[in-house]
Amino acid sequence: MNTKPYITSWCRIQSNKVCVNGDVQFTSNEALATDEFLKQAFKAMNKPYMKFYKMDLLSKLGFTAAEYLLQANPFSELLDPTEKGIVLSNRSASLETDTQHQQSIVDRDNYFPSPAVFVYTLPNIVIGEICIKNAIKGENIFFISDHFDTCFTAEYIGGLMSENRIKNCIFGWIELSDDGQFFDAFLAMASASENPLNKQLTAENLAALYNQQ
Amino acid sequence: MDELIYQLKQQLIEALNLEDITPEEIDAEAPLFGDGLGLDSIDALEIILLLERHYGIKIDNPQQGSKIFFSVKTLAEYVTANKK
Repeated sequence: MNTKPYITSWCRIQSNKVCVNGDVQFTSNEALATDEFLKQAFKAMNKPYMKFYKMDLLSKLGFTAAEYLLQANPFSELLDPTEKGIVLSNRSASLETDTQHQQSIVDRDNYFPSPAVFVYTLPNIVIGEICIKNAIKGENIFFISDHFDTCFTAEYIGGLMSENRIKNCIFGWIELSDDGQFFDAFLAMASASENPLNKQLTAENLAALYNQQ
Repeated sequence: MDELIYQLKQQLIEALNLEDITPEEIDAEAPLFGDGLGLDSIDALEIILLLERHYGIKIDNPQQGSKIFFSVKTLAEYVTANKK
C-alpha cells in the first residue's frame, strides 16, 4: 500500500515572477512594491474577488499563489471539503502586519487601531482566506520555522494521508519580511492518488522543486 | 450634504480598500451591506473608526448601527446631526 503522496503541481512566487510547474505565468518588467506586484499578478488571472484587496500582504501572497496553483491543478469535484487540507509554514509569521498594528497603537494621543489590520495579526489567517475561497475544511495548520523544512513537511503530510485524514493537500512556504519588501512563496499540491507521472512527496524531491531557479 | 456624501464615499473607498471603485460609481442610496458594495462586519467596525477619527463621533448604541450604516446617505445624515 502506497503511503507516500505525490506532488501534482507547484507554484513559486519570488523576484517579481509567478511560475507554475516551472513555467512563467506572470512577470513584471519593472521593479514593483510588493503590494502592487501582487495586485497585478492577481488581476492578470482575471478572476475578480473583492475580498483580495482587503487582505494583508501575507494573505495576498499566499492567496495569489493558491489561485495560480489551483488554476493549473484544481481540486477534484469528487472530493469532500473535509478531504482537502492545507499545511503552510514561514519564518516571520505575520510580523509585517503585526508591525502595522503596533504602529497604530503606539501613540496614545492618536490611538486608532484598525480592525481590518488587527484581524490579520496571525499568520494562519492566510489559510482561512484560502479555505473560504476554495471550500477547504480538512486538516489545516501553520508552522513557524527558521527555514522551509522539506523533511518535516514531507513527513507531516505523508502522515496525514496515510491516516486517511485528507486526500489532497495544498502545502508550502509563504514568507514575507517584516518590512514587506522581501517575499518568497512556494505552494504545491499533494495527492494521495498514485500517479507515476508525478514525483513522490519526499524531502529530496521537495527540496529539488523548492530550490529550482 | 452633497459635498459630505462625496467626501464619505472617498473615505469609505480608502478605509475599506475598495479597489477600482470611484465615488461616482457608489449609489448614495444603495445598501452598503449585503448587495451593492458587499461590506462585512469588519468593514462595519472600520466605518465606526472612520466616524470617530474624521468626525469625532462615537456610536454608543450598536443597535443604531443598521439604520446609520444603511447607505452613504443615511451615514451622511447621521454625521450632519452629530458631528463634533
